[in-house]
Amino acid sequence: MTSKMTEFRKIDDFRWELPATGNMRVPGRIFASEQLWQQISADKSVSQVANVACLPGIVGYSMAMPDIHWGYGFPIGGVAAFDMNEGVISPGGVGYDINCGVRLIATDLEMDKILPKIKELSAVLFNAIPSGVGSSGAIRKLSFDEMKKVVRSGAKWAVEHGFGSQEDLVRIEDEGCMDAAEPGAISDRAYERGKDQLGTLGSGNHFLEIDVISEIYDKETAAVFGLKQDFAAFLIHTGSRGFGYQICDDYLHRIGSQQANFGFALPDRQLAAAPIKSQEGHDYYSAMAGAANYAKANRQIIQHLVIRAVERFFGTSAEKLGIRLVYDVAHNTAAFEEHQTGKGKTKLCVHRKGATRSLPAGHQSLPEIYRAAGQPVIIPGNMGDCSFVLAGVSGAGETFNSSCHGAGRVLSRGQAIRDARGRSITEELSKQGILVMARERGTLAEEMPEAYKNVKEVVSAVAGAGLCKKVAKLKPVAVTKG
Amino acid sequence: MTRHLKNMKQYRLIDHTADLGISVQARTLKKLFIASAESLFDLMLEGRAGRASERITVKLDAPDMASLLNRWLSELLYLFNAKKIVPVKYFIRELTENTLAAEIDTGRFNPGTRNIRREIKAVTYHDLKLEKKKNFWNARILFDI
Repeated sequence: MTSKMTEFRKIDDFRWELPATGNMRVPGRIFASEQLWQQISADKSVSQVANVACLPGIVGYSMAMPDIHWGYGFPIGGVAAFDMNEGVISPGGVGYDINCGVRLIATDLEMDKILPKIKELSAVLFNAIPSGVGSSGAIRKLSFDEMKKVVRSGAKWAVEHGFGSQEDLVRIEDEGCMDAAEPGAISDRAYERGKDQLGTLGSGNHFLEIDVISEIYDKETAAVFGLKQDFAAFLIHTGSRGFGYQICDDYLHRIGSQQANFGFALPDRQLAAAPIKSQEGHDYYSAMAGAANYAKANRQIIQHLVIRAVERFFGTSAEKLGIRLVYDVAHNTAAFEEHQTGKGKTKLCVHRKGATRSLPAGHQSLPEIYRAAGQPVIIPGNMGDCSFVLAGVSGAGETFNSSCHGAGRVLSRGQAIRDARGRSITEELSKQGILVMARERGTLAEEMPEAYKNVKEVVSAVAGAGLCKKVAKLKPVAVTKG
Repeated sequence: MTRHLKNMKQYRLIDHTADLGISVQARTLKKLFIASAESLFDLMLEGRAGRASERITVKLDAPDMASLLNRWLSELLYLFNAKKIVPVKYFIRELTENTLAAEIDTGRFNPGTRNIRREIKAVTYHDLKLEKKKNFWNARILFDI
């Protein structure tokens, strides 16, 4: 148990509060059940909640979702909002994989009918979407000028180039493009790394899954989202690849080198942060938005590759197979948003590091199709358990409209590898009816189901705290990993 | 913690929930920078570096020595990811509190001859330590996986 744990007090069944002490400018607040709280105490993430609370201009609380675990700088699962005039923006508050996120695609394919062919279908997808470390070559290599168009337009660029349809764009946060992106704020090194990685999954916890919608909790909302029980769905999890990693690295170095000039001390160098109003802060936000757009284009292109492969496999069109995008959400971003605070409606810079935006019904940023239902919030679990579709509710105003992003790790990668010794994770999952294909040897051990918290418990905690409502459950049937 | 002694590279793995860290020890600072670089590539790639085909020069500066270690490893990671360059032998010509100059004999990464162990996205500043204890220099470095 870390020293900070003893200072937390339980507010209710799902809220734990750390009073502001020392250099903390606001209290910390963690959303977790009693059971999850015991797991949270095992790592250093609660100290990271306290560290974030020390940053200038932070508003309300330094918060963390129930999938919180030890990250670098911010905890994974961290949410923090900053005043636009006095606050800061931090590359470490977004992370290296800028706009790592998930996209859910529904279908009219009945799982019972495609199950006999699932191995062949999975192999087709495994070959159609490049995955693994440094994977490339999904589409032609782009010139720097073309890359700058991707940075400006995000998924819109992908649709304009034949990767999907206009209808997809309203089903992506920010309609597929953050307007703040400025190509000039991004280094040649980032362009170099990103030019041949669009349309690739990458490695680690990134994946492409075929799932079955196994349970519906809210029939009305599920109908609006187009989710039908016992039908197949595709889940894509990836981000901005080397392009985003390089942008984060460039700005950590640039802002970190200038830190002494900004007039505040940092409890952790990975929290390097610049005033939002400074040139460095402006440039980072512009570059980060560019990487977010790259990630939106990446998932749009992967969806297109999936659809083309599925069309070829079944010998019919996507339209006839009922393939449609449900929604695309980001997990690692900073965004300028308006929220209710003690000062009324206020523009803030909200950092979500391993957290999902979660807009309630009626929110003006939601597309018309979801405005009455609330935002689809897609929560991937682990490859042996299940994932969830939630919907945003008004209670999430407390978290600047944020929810959890996944199960959250509980085992270190080293411990997972040690625990997996002498076992075949592929065989174990196969016995549960889950087919797994991975390109790299170590990935399956590091990503094995026990490495993660119980996603059902995590989702119950966000629902219990009133931050989201449960809509549907997905069970993995075939998993493709890098 | 696990001690890795493969290929004469000595580092300890540090358990971290989301990511991966190493602890490296050497008798001199130059050797510590080289051992850290070798450890980074041992975490990413199986097998040994092949034959060198090109000598490259690396010059870096940073506000302090720990940041310099971060920049050194980040530079090598960039060269690997963007240009598929794999270091074979390091010659650190100059190392001060704020500057590093090195020549590196390098080869090209060939996925047909070396397997990839895992992707390392970045070298973080979180919990970064570089200190001298008795006669040894020690570094603690966390990577984003």
